[in-house]
Amino acid sequence: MTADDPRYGAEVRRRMRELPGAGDLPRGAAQVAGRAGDREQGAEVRFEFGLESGRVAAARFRAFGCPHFLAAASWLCERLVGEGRSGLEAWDWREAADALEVPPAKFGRLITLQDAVRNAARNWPGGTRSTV
Amino acid sequence: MDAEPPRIAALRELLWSGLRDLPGTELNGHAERRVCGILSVTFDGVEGESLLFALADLAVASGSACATTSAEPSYVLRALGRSDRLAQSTLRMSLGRFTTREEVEFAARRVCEEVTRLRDIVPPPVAGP
Repeated sequence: MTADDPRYGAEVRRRMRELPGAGDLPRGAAQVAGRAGDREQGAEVRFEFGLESGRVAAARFRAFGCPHFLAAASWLCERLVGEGRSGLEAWDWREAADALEVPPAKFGRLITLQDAVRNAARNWPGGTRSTV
Repeated sequence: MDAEPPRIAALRELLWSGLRDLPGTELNGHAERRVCGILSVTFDGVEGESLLFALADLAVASGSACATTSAEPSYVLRALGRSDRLAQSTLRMSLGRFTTREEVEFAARRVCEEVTRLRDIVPPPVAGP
């Protein structure tokens, strides 16, 4: 593997270098979290969304997975800012596949991200919560 | 030529000594009866493809079929008792006649940096009921 490995697009390479959005939100403000995947299966992610006026104001992720998976989680932390609960419920993994040139062999990993985003929508304040 | 295997084995031990103190790190294979120029190490809590990607400045290989899109873990590592996930979290590092001490020290430092960086973003365990 080299730094310009053609299996990874430029945006995946940049996000893997810098990991923007990785970590945790500061405690205190209104937040909702969503989680999906299983480390034993090779992909696990947890998102935290900071909420203001019923919309996502900031997002952070923690993840275990391949470069496409980590890059897509990072990308989602920016993509979902401004969305409300319905936006999270409706988000579709194909958008990340297009934006990051993810190969078909990795599409299943992106569905794990979609599951985590929808899990956060279910945990939205006022909704039916699950443990994350 | 007779001097080469001991020299390479010493470099391999130097590499292992630079990695062994990382938590969750395990040597694969026998501690002493091993080929002098290969070090196989499993790093629990790190996904193998991402670790390989992060170490693009080093000539290392995964314990799995890294050159393809196959996600199959190494049957050799599974035979050694590693789970599928741990087999995927394994690096195979090869040293040779022209490998230098400085290169080994650089490699150990880079592996420690990237293993730590990738572990730092892993989700915490799910909270109990």
